[in-house]
Amino acid sequence: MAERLRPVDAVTIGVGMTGSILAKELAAAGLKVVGIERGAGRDTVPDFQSPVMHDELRFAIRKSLMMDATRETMTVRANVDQTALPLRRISGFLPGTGLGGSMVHWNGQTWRFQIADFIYRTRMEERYGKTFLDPDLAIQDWGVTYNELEPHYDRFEYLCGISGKAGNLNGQLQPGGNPFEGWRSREYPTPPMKEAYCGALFRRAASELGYHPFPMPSANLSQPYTNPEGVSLHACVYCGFCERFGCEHYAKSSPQTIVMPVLLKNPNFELRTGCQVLRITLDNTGRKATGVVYTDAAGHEFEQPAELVLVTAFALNNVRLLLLSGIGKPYDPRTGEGVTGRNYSYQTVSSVDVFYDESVNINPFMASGALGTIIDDFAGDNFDHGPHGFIGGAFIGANMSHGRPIEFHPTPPGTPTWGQAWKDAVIRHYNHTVTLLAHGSSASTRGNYLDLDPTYRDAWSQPLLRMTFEFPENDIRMSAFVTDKMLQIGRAMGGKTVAGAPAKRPYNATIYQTTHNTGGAVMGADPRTSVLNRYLQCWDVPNVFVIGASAYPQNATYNPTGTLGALTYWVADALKTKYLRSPGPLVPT
Amino acid sequence: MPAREFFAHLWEATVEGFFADPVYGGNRDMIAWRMIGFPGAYASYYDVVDKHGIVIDRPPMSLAQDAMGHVHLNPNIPPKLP
Amino acid sequence: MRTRNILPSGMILAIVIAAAFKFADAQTAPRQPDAKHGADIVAHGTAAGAPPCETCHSVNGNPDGSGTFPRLFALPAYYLAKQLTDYKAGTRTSDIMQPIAQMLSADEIADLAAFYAGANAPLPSLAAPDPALVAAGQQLAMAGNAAKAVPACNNCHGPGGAGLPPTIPPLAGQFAPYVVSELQLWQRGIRKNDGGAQMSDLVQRLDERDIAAVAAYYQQVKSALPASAAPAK
Repeated sequence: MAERLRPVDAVTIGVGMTGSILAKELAAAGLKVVGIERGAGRDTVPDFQSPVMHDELRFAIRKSLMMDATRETMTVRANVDQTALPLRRISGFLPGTGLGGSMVHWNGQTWRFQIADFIYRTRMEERYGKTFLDPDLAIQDWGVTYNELEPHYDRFEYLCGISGKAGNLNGQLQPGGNPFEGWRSREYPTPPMKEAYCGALFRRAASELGYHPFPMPSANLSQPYTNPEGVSLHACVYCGFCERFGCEHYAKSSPQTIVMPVLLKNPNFELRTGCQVLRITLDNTGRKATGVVYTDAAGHEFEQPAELVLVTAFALNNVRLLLLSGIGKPYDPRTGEGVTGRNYSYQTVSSVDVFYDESVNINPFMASGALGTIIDDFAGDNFDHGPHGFIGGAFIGANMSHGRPIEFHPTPPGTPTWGQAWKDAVIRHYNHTVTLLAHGSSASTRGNYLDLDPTYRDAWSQPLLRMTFEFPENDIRMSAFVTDKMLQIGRAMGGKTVAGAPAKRPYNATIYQTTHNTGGAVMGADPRTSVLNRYLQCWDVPNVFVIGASAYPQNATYNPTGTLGALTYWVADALKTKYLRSPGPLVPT
Repeated sequence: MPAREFFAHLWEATVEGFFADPVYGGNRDMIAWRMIGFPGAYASYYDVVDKHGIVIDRPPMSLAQDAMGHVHLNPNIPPKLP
Repeated sequence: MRTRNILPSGMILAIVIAAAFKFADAQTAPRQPDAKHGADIVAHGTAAGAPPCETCHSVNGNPDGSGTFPRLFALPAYYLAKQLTDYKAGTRTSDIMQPIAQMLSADEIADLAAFYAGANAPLPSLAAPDPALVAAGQQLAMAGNAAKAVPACNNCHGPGGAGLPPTIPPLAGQFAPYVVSELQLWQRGIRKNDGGAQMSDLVQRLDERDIAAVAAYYQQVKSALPASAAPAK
């Protein structure tokens, strides 16, 4: 029998990026907020300090900061005709756990989506015609526009201290920045990072081919910075232990380094760690949440009543919680009905290696997660897709974020996979190879979705999330196109050998390809095709807001985090100026 | 278990033991890191990341070495933080 | 003959780097630094009038026992060359070192750096420090300080403060009064020759006791054999 606790104003399920920012905003506005985090508390000092942190085997391979797959995981299959099986080891995507969530171990690549991305269905049909799109695509408009989000992008970027160079300031193109980006109202808070050798080699070749290289926008800061919350970060030291690791140096934007000191000092906020939320509780109308039920580390169950429930547990967990709690009709791909679980998408990536002469020292170990030189010429809708027969695109660039040897030991095609010849090739090429990346969009389809697994359960006996996903044909064609462009640039970079391949089917969930799981609890203008309205408020249960990349109707070219930061401030603003003054649906149904 | 699966796991485990920090007992004297030129667990490169092509040839450093350079083995480091 | 050098410090440093490192695209084979010549300068000074380095930076500590002149043994060549170059150009200030550095040519700087990088000497016996202070210093050195958002010094300064060649100097075995005075100079913005304000920014968060503590700790970290001089084994 769950022990019923004293009611509070708001609960956040998970205290990662979105949970900590929203908790800070609401606590500062006078609400009593409880943040419930399944993992442990942790802070830069002592938990992320070197040299303990710089252990590739422990953190990058054994995934020490990630969710514990022995207690909960996902099942995966390609389509409804297959039986989904559990991921016993998470490797294809790496949801975090612990205070700060995945923003502790991310790479720091911080982008804005394009103006067209938010009105994707409308824009694609307008530009290319309704029949241009593959019939299985389920892309949708978001219900919110870039212009509405711009001030919130700005606010998030200044919270983090993002290092970059504006390409479009209020409509005026700026040299050195991304000429394809949406307009921004002011320059980045800190200047771009230093350029590594791989970036310089890419820049030269890309420029010669007529493309427009610029520095990747980075949450690994280029210089010391104090944000508007009064929290300070230091300048990145390019240690090469970024993704999958906590930053030792206070140089990577993470909840701990941008907002946690303020949040934890506010007596309106209470943090509970080691607590697994099992479900959101609803009243007997099913249209109002009464709070959440969770178990603590000792196995005791508690009911935490709350007026407002913020589901901020990471995209995949968000959707699972809605399904476990009976919020929104579950999506059935056979009928096309239902909304919860619908429009799951991911990211479409490929890479190319450029192998150089031994005299060229690339030094890949001097690196940072978001250190890169990029072109946007083949991203999104930045080029005419008419002749090509697909939608979407990729940014292409040199963004070698590390040289850690268990993960990085490139060899040219034809090298034996083991033995002396393999060793010789590794020695020959380790310090003389540049890896390029194409990071591409992921269109949603009618067949890709999330639901609850009928067979497998977690350590708390609740059904696991089942992921049904295969790369759409559209994205396979897109990947072939952009990989071809990437090979062209690779050949112009002066190496001796260039090799790479596009994304291929079947989707292999055991090979790491980003943790950019998106969709499943999408936002939109129409309750028949979305779980959330444009304020990320549940259509069906107005005192539940679901803030995560689960809201994305499809995934754009870029990493999702920057846009999620903007949406988080957009929601904070809606809560403070609209919802709390008059609780109820913010959009009429 | 299919032979291919088994071999893939065996190979992966070998690579891990070979290239991991010597604290775990493999990669003795950091021979694998010396072989490829990976400087190891201590990493701070602000001043040289943009010195393109510079030769970094200092001996590699283990997370478990002391000021004398002696590596103190500890194969029992838990994979997950508590 | 007194040499007056008006090259900017960046250009001098570039010459010294080219002398000290092999660059893939060097047009001609760069001059290799001469550690023996460096030893000669240490003992006898230069024809241009630079005094012998060991007058102040002696093996057995300083003549007045104050510890204000740093130990130079086993400093990475790149780092020491940069400091001398910075003194020469005025990027790092010192009433004592600036005039001396101005008397050194870029080649002499490279030779001195090569000598000191390859040399070592036993640590002089120094006064026993306050154990509480040393413990506090060890905490900062190995774990940092959460409340002040200060990362551990060893993250960049290496295991036990042994240094991170080529750019980051060892602290292990360095004289405490010297370390204290340098941290104060970083803090006050008088010393500013670090890249990206790494030191200036971090040291703002330390108070007087923190500074005394890390200095006391590092001075007594025993057997400081920095990585650049450590045997290959």
